[in-house]
Amino acid sequence: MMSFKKGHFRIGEAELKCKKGNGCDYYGNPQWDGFCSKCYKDVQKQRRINMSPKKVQMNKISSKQDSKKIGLTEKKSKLSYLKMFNTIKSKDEISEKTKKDYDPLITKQLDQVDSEYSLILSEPKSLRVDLKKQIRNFCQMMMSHLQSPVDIQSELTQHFYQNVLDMLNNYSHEELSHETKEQILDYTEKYSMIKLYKFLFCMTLADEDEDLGIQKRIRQLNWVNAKHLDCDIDKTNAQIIELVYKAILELLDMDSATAPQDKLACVVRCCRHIFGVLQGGNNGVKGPASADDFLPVLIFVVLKANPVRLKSNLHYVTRFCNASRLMSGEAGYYFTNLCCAVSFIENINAELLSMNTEEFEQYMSGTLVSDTWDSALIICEGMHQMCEQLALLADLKRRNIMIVEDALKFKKEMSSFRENLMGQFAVLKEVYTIVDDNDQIEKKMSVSIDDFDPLCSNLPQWTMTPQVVQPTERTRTNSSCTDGDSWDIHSAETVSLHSLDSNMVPENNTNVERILENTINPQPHLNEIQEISIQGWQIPSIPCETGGKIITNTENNI
Amino acid sequence: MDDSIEDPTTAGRTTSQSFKVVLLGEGCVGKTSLVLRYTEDKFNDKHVSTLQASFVKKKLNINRRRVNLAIWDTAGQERFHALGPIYYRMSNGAILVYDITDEDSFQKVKNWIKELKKMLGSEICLVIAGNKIDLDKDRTVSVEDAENYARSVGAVHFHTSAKLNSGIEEIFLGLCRMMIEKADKQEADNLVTLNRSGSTRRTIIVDDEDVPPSQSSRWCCSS
Repeated sequence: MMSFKKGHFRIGEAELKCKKGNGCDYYGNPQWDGFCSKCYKDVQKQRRINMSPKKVQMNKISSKQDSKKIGLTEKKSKLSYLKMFNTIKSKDEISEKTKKDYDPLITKQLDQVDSEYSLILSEPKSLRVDLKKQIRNFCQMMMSHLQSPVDIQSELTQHFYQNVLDMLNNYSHEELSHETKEQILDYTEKYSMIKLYKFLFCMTLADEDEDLGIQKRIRQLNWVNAKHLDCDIDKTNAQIIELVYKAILELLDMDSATAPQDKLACVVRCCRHIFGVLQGGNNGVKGPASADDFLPVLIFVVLKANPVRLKSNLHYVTRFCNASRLMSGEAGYYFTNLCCAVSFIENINAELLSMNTEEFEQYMSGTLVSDTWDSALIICEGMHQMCEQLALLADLKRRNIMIVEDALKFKKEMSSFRENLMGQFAVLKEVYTIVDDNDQIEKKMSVSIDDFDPLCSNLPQWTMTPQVVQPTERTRTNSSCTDGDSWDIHSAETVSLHSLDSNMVPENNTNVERILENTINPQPHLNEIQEISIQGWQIPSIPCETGGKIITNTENNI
Repeated sequence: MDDSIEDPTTAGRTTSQSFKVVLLGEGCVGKTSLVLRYTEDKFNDKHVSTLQASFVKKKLNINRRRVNLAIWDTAGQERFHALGPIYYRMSNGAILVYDITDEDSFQKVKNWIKELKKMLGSEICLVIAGNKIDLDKDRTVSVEDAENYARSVGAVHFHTSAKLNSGIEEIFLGLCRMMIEKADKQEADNLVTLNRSGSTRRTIIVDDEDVPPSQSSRWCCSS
């Protein structure tokens, strides 16, 4: 944004001049597309003549396509860029991004969020406007802080939530209920985070490293079973096994959610399933499960699920979720437990699993293997991983196809644009010849004369001077000209007149010879007639002022 | 950063206050039964809390002030001891439970308190619950020792029994009073610092960032 503004202040004089350039020394005006008033009027006139509505539409489409293309390549370049330097981004790129439209997918999600909360938002209208403004400002601010450390980003986000809460508390028009406020806060958080997800999630190399680290660690620990963790899971009960799988799936789902509260919702669902497991542990007779029972099972589930980007997800939620939600509330509690589970897994050792170091080492090196159910769970994990990869590949394929399609479409559009342009050009050419291009007109004139009467070119050169013709003679020739069928009259004048209106008839060979012989004789008269006939059939299509020009031109030429 | 997180929980809710309370104690000292007894007195058995007792919410009215309690149970096994800090981060109060028949569990309580003091200083309100007083005949931790210790660390000691439902209401109520007092004091402190410079300056900065840029940019574009 800033760089954009700066650019405007450094304009040379040449840029201020009329855009038409050659010959026009007046200053241009942005209101007139950079032309001076006179040139702009001309251009407008041209446009009105040339621009058919079809072309306008076509222009729009192609430019849209263009911007989409730019967005794609830019994203691509951004990706590769990130892989190399990760946190470093050029200022230009950022400003480009802020201007750029968001992904259609994200827009769709945002629309969904909008409709989801439409009921609350529809009530106080002024509030909605304020809220939208706040969110927009926040997103803009975050965009300018993309280079800042994550801590600062996180702090800014928390400040933003606090600001919104203050705004709701001080909302003067009507008293808002606690629930409404909560929901509006929810909406704010969801909307802005979905919008910024791409830029905030897993953005540093450190996050990525941690993700890979924990994933590798969990894979190493795949032999850890329920017994090692002292959890009460009945392996023989199909219902419980089902619940374990469900919990694992929910945990895996966390990565696909975008808004922090959606991620938290996944964690909550996962934990509810775990409580189901604990309840069913003794056919439901067991009392309410305590944290003592809950945490080991959660650790077990995390170990067996081995979710992708686990650390990034945890970091993202801690940084950008509304802090008050994390501090109190059920979701916050479960999330804290998940953090505990992950921390435990990171620090797992022989002592923590109550086994001797030797055994632990053997397990870690793979010399000891676990029982069948655990193997099944390992396979399950492998399957999930595979699905993940397949999904990734499918996405890449889809994008590739999209690019190819777009390229083809673009190509087609280019060619149709070319055709259109050529057509326009042809039209333009004609328009130009009629309006003011003298050379063109002259050429056309001479061509049409030739087409009409090939004999004319055979005529000897003759300087054109005003001729005084006897009125009686003129009328006679004119009358004979109009009833052109009188072949029997063999006077030189009438024959040559005939030749103006129609081509020669081949049967009258003798006649033709005679005409050719005779044409030289009545020169003065013939030329006079020629002049008249030119004017006679050309005048109606020529504007008055240019008509005069033509005559003088032909005069000079001849 | 900690300050900015603390603010929304205390300053944001003027009508009702929310407190986070962690339950600490060795496994099998009766943390869960303590919570269950406390919540089930108000709610019937069909309530959701019967499904799990690890996270419980409770609403109270103390001196015409509404208080929302969120009670976080923690895993008490020795192997999870290191995870404590994750649990009690940002909590307003802690209930440390020990079994009066188990000297070891009291020792654990001492460890917890040492850790809590180190991590959170005096920001957290502490109560110690000597549970299972119905088994008074097997008592190994003397009342005097426990109360002396509690006094030395600025905590309040209670005797409870989940089985007999004694001392339970008192312990939660007592903790709430302590937390309210602390919160009020904190608020007053905040007001003092606010008048000096700290928070006011911060809010002004936020306003700056939020409103003017859009206006200024609009002016720039139109001119």
